[in-house]
Amino acid sequence: MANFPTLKTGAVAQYPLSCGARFTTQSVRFLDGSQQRFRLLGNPLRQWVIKLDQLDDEELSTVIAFVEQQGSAAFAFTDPVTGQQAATCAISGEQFDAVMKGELRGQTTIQIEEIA
Amino acid sequence: MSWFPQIGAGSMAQFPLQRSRKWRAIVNDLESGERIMLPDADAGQVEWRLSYQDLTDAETANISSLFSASQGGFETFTFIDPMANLLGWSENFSQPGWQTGLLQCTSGVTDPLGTLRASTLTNNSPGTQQLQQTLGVPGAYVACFSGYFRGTSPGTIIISRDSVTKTVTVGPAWQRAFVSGPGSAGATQSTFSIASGAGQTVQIWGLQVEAQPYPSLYKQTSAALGIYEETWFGNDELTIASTSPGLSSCDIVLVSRVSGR
Repeated sequence: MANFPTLKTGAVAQYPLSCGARFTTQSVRFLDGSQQRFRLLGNPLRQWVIKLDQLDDEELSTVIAFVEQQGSAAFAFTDPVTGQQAATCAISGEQFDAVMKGELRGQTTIQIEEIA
Repeated sequence: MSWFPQIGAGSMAQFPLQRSRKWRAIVNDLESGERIMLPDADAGQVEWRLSYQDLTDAETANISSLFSASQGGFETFTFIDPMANLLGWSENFSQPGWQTGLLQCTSGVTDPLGTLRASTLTNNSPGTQQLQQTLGVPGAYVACFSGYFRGTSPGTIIISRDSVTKTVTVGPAWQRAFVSGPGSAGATQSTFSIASGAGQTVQIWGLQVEAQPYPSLYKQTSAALGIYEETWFGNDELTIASTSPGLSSCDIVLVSRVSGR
């Protein structure tokens, strides 16, 4: 399984890094006002928003090539904060933007979510 | 067949340049939080947002002509990724996109970065042999073919794009060399090659073809990507602003189809 690429510095992400976790709970509310809730996920699914700035051609191209290769396929991602590996992640959404604002001024944002 | 025109000395775009990759998939989110996705491989698109400043009248006319000929967003043309290394499999010469002739290619050689991604080309034949790849880059386009070269003994190699050649002296140290310029007039394809003399052994790394006059940082490729033969204008309207005598600016949105993934 592929791994998310690192920058030339060896870092995966830059500040600000947004991380989150998502549970799924199904809730049934009864006429008497009481509720019954069902936990549908045993463990939370994590998600990250990786904003990369000041990238050079090579770094930006590496990220673009990774997205082109992966498409919607799953890959392994190491949480930049905890160092824990999430084995099954995918790129969120149906669009990936990469901007080259000038020399050494590549920018991109990728939303990654754990899917299992 | 028509191509999006180059500007200036042979550039595809100016900064800032935005590339948006879009794909489509049928997605089922299950109650358990699981997701089942069925990619629609033929529905992928890349949207390019090109912002041009200080275009000359000739450059503006070229863009306007293509827009008219395409009838806005109706007809398609070919667009070449301004950010891509157009060579496929830039470090794997066993792929069918490469023609190696009688050259022996050995990978796993130390490259200028200190990793083992370079290759050795050995020519044991009695004549000159070429490593080459042919791309759908039209002859009218300015393109730059570059690479890093080193020889086990002093000598020369020839790097070329079609009939445009450059002799490169190779020695024990890695050096980057490039050949740049337009190719054969009227051609719809270009062949980029490295010629090695009889009995010669050279090490190569970082081969790159770009639709621009000078080389940028090397970008490794693992497939042949970057030439989008089905591209169209994203808008049916093209607005060109004259900013001073003989100079204009415009913003263009192009959409390229990406299929077959």
